Amino acid sequence: MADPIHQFKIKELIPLELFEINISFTNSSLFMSLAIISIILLLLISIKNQSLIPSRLQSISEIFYEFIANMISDNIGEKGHKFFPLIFTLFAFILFGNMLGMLPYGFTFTSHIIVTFVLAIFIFLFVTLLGIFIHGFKFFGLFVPKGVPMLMLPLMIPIEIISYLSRPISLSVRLFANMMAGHTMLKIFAGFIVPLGIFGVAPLLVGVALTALEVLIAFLQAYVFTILTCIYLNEAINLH
Amino acid sequence: MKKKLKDFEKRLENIKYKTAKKNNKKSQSLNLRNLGLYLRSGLELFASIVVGLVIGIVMDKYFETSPLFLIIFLVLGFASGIMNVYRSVKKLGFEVGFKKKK
Repeated sequence: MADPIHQFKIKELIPLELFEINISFTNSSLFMSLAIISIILLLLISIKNQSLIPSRLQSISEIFYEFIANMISDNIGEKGHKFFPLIFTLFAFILFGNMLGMLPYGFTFTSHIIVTFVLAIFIFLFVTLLGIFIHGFKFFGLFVPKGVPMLMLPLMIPIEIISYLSRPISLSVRLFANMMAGHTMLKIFAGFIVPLGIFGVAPLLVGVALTALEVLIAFLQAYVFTILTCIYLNEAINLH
Repeated sequence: MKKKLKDFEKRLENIKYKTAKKNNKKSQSLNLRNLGLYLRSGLELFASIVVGLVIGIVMDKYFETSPLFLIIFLVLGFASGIMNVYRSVKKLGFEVGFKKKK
């Protein structure tokens, strides 16, 4: 039977080394580049023939834009639109990464914890530095919950700090685990189809249903990642 | 004539019922925000415990007081995990860990 983990293997396509650090161009980097190229192409092509009544392609990028703009208005407010490029890039990159992984022979780079963790840790550092930059020392007032008696503060502050530090972990593990578990499950069910002969219809049907579910999850996880980034940004900008 | 009218009423009633049902279903399935909320609450507990664990182990190594800080921070991590799950379920705010102003 096919090895369900094999699909996550990193292959070096162009071996490269710089100062004894392996910086080879791998299949993961290939799909990251593909994601970026396809985003740019989609956006460039769709705005080529602009018209007041949008064509199908143009409405895709318009919906895309409005989706992110609404997300920022709902979660951050007016001040958040400065960060539109960041949020839009993040959402597009993760969404295309997840969706390219759904294509046959595709590779899902978001199914590697290091990729999602780097994304999450950069957001975490950016949001923290932004908060300190805007509010100065006041930003640490975030760790003092409102309406808590003085006596409880020595206990509540460490708890709040731990919950703040847990953000990059929960953010990255959520995306990685969902993508990896989904693709492994798909592969396992697909591996049962041929050995079971005529009864292979059952895993085939499950596989079809799971593929649909995976497309939903691929979108949903990109959405969740982005909306949590918005919420963290909101706290840094509009400190409660 | 009367029969036709009654028939029409029945059909109208039927369609009304069906559309109401459809709309209800649509609003439930399209609520991405809620779906995201439920998907993430389980992980919140895990992440907080891991952070508590790591802080505890590092502090123990630094001060050579094993396993004092490990125990303290594991309990604190568990507490903050429970708090996060409680907050996200109670919708005290979508964000992790901080109570929203009412």
